[in-house]
This record gives sequence, structure tokens and C-alpha cells, in this order.
Amino acid sequence: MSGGVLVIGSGASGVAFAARLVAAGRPVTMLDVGRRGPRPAFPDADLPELKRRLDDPFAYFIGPADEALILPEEEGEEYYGFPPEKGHVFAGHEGLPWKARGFAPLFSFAAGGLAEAWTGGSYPFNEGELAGWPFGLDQLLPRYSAVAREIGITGAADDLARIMPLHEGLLEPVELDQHGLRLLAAYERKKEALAGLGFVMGRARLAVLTEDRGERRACDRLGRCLWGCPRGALYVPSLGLDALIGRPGFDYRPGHFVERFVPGPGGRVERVIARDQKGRELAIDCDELVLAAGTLASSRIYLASLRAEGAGAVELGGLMDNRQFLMPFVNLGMLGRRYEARSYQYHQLAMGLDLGGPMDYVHGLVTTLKTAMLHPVVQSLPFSMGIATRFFGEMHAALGLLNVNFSDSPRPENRLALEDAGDGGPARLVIDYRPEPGEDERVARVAGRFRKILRLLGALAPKGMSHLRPMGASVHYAGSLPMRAEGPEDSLDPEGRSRRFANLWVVDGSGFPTLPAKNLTFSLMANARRVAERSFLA
Amino acid sequence: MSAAGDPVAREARVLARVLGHDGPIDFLLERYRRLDAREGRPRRRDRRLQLAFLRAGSLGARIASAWAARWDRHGPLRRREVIMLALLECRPETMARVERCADGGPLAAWPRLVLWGCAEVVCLLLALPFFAPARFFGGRS
Repeated sequence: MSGGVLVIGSGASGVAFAARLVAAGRPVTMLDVGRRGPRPAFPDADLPELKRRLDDPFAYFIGPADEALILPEEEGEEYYGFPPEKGHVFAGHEGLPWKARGFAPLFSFAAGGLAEAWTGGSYPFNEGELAGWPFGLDQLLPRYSAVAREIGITGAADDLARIMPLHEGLLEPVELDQHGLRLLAAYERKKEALAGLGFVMGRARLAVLTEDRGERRACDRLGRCLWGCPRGALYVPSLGLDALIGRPGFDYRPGHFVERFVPGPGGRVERVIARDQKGRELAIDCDELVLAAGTLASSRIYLASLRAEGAGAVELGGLMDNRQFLMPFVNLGMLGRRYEARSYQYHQLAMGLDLGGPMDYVHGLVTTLKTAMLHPVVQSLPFSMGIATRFFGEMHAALGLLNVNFSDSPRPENRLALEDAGDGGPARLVIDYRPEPGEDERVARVAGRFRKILRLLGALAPKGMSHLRPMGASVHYAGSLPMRAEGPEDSLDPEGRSRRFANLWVVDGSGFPTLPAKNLTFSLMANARRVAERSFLA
Repeated sequence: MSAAGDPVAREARVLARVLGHDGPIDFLLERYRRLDAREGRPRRRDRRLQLAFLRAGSLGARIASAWAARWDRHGPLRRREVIMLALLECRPETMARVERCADGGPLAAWPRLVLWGCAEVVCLLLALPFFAPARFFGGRS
């Protein structure tokens, strides 16, 4: 290969960036490890039918090595786990050893990256949330619209528009189940009291098709979201990638693990060093390099490149992630009713809690997951398993899980660095994270407020069952190479270009200077498109 | 092999029954055996007693389970119960039996919930004289 635009990684941002360039006729080469999962079995079957038709349902739902079985453990309880079908999404790589303190990182080397396991939440940042950014909403809003038109985003012009801008291209929302209908009806009745608590609620904005579009089919409520939508209704980046593969000017090269890039004498990146599946080292030239491997993997490539150039002990501060807590609740009006397995499974409703400033905003998603495996939830009930199962049968339709995201701000002590692993292998990525002082009080205050809100909505959230997830669990990593109007050498300019290397851009979460509470994936795609248009197509 | 001569199969049948499934479990026995073998046998006396109660039958299992739900949530009985539930929920027919709902709404559900709550308390009271001494004075073998 000789030159051209080289993109590393096929996640949400890499695919959005490449798609924009290829559509404009600019050739792009994409290097990717690119692991793939199995093709969906019986794509038209709903979940009970799937269980009936599979030769070995245990292997499908629990895993060939029982890896999806969630047993009672001392370390704490999770209410659901990733199914075996998505095992490839979070499988590690021997080229990226790591050590973490205060952080539970997830990496992805899958085609499509981490967003292969996302829940489709597509919530645009507002002007206030972009206050710490070197550009305003005027640069992102048209890109939110463009991404929405391209991948399909559902939503409605409802109260959520007060906290997130309305953009073009919104499809009809997904159909609400009885659980969601009751919550929304209660919200409409108590709106005044809830507004006094700084609370708004509305239809989830989701990257889900509610109308057929080419090979992707509208959501048919098969209840299989957690295992991977077999109809392609829920957008995942591998769908965007597959649409790109074969298009003129797009050269996709899976099976490549990028170790580092090599700058030339003028401070310009000349080539990247990668290993193929057989472990052979390859040097691949480029004119312009775009890192889109995800915050942790892109930062590792950046650090390894500086290290190879003898830059000494460099570290990248400012790592961020959305702290999450899970608050199970019982929607009392749904007690003793049969649950609806045929519904969109992740979240049909979204909510926001305005606690003052934009970075104090807390974002909540009501997840029902009616078809998820029951054993992790049943074992968390405070009864013997036989009684817990009966309780669960009566409560299943009434159960909900409020997933609350907190914003994060950059702090230098939350850092990424490399150290020798001591085994002659690749250097180890070291991740250090300490929560903001006072986080416990903040979480407790918000939890109390949400409990009160849920009571007004006719739901009960038992106090002892809320669960603060470890830092890193939300997989909304950001901030290690932030975009700033002015900044140090190891940061990006407002167009996402490295200040140290003139032909290096970073379009993943590394470049986010702050991390609002809303799920970041939609903004990753919009920003990648923005960088493509302003730096490569202008 | 008969159920009497096959303690793991008996254990599995009792577990399935406690979880609400009375039908055949042949389709999951092989998988259950594998997971049971992986779990191994406990060394603590009170935990061995839990498994002995399980093998004694449904009532014994319910009593031991009520104890384990309070004071040994990560113990061997609870782990086996979770394994059985996970296996049962892989088939829609068994799942439907385990996860029953009369669909009568909240007013019909509350009396049932209260009744089950009472059953839980009774099992717990029956468990205390057996498991409390075994736990606090039993030690290991």
C-alpha cells in the first residue's frame, strides 16, 4: 500500500468516519482485528421458538463452557450478563496486556467494536454539556441529523427535548409495552410534581429501525435484542461496516493488530506497525492516520508509539467513564400480570434529572429485559430459591431496572501509562482511576431522588437492591487525548488533530474533553463525521 | 441407574421440583452432572447438611434453602439451585412451568405473595434448630 487515509478500528466512530469519506469518494483503508461472532440462528424465530428449535439450547444460552452462567459469588451481583453469542465482542488480545486500579476495563477486538453490545441509546449532547468543548452544538447538530438519517434513530418530540436537542431524521418510536405505557401515563398525571424534582421522561431515542430499510428490517419485537438482533433492526457498527465492504475506495483488512505508528523526521506519521493473525510484523504506509480503536486501545497505540521513539515515561491523564448504578424497581400496577416477551428489550423510556448545571445532569434508562436470563435476577431476591421463583413469576411483568449514568470530568490522576510486563512480551497498559471526592454522597442523593420519583410513578425501588457498578463497567471511556482550543502536546486541536503529529487524527472517545451523562456512542459517530467533513472534505 | 442409586439424579429431580418443575428432566441431566462435578463437595459441616437435606426430598430442600437464603447465599445448595434454574430456563416448556403467573393483576397477586412469605418464615423456623448448631459449632471435617 502507498499512502492514503488509514483508519484503525471498526467501531462506531471508525465506521462513521470511513463511511463519510467513502461516500465523498475518498479512498480509505481500515485495519482491524475484526473478530466476528456467529450468524444469528433462525432469524425469524422469537425467543421461545428459538429455544425450541436450537439443537443445544444450553450451549446457546449458558455457553459451551458455561461462561454465561451467573452463580452466587462473594464479589457482588450483576443482574444480567453478556450472552455467549456476544463472547467475541469482549474477548481480549494477547497484544494488549493490562493492569488496572479502581477500574474494570472492557476491550473489544470485534468487527464493530464495543458498540456491538450497546443498547442503542442515542442521546445528543446539548449546548450546556458542550461548554467545556472547543466547539458548539452548531457543529454537532447537523451531524446528529445525518447519522440519524443514515443508521435510523427513533424518538419523539416530547419532554426529553428540553434536555437534548431535537435533530432531523427521527423515526417513529418503538412500540411501548404495558410496563412502559403505565409509567408514561403516571408521568403525564404527575408531571407538575415531577418537574419540581427536576425530572423529565420521554420515549427512548434508539438506533432501532421502525421501518424496513434495505436489508435491515423493522423491529418485529422478537425479544432477542440481548443476543443480537437477527433482523438488523438495532444498528451495530458491523452493519455499517458490512455496508462499506465492497464499495469502491474502501479497503477493509481484518486480522491486523496495530502495535504502534512510526513518525518520520518532520513529526508526521509515516507508517503503522501491525501484526497479522500469524504474528508476522507488517509495516503499512499512510499519508494520514486516524485512530478509532476506542479510548483505551487508541491510547495504548499512542503511548507505544511515543515509547518506541524514546519519549520516556509518558502518561495520558483525564481518563473518564460514566459511573452507573442500577436500581431495580417494581411497577406495582403490573404485579400479577403476564409479561410481554415480544417487546424491544433494552429501554423504551428515558429520563433525565436536572440537578443544577449541565454536568450535574443525570441520565436514566428504564430497562425491562423481559427475555433476559432469569437466574441472575431470581438469586438476588431475599428468599429461598423456590419461593423466589414463585415471587418472580408474579413480579416479572412488573420488574424494571433503572440504569443511571453520571457525568465525569477529566482529572490528571485518572491516567493511562505503559510499563514493562517483565515477561519480554508487549508493554502493559496501566489504568488508574479514582472517583471524584464526594461521589458516594452524590450517588446517595441521586438514588434517594429517583426512589421518590419512582414512587410518584407508581413503582417501588427496594433500598438494599440498588447496585453501584464498578468504574469501567459502562464502557463509555473517554478523555485521554482531549480536544482543546489550546492544550499540551498530547492533546488534540478542535478538529481532532494531534498537536504532536500533524497527520494524526483521533476520532474515538479519547478526544472528548468532558463526558456528559448521556450515552456517548451517538456523539462519537456525529463527531467522527464532523472531523471527516471539516478536516478531510472541506 | 435407579434414582436411589444415583444421588446426583435424585438431587437434580428434587431441585427441579422445588423450582416448580415436576416433569422429566432427562434432557438436562448430563449438563447438570457436569456442573455438579465442577462444584465439588463442601468441607463445612453445615454445608454438607444442606446437601443432605436436599437429597432427603422437597421438604428438606425447602427448609435448607430458606436457611441458605439468609445465612449462606453463596453456599453449595444455592449454587446448585441457580444451576438448575439456569438449565430449566433454556427450554420454553420447562420455563413456563417454573415461571407461572395467574395473570389476575395486583389484587390477586398480593394474597399469593403473602402466603409464600408465610411459607418462607415457616421453613426458616424449621431450619434453625438444624442449621444454626451445625453452622456455629459444626466446624469442618
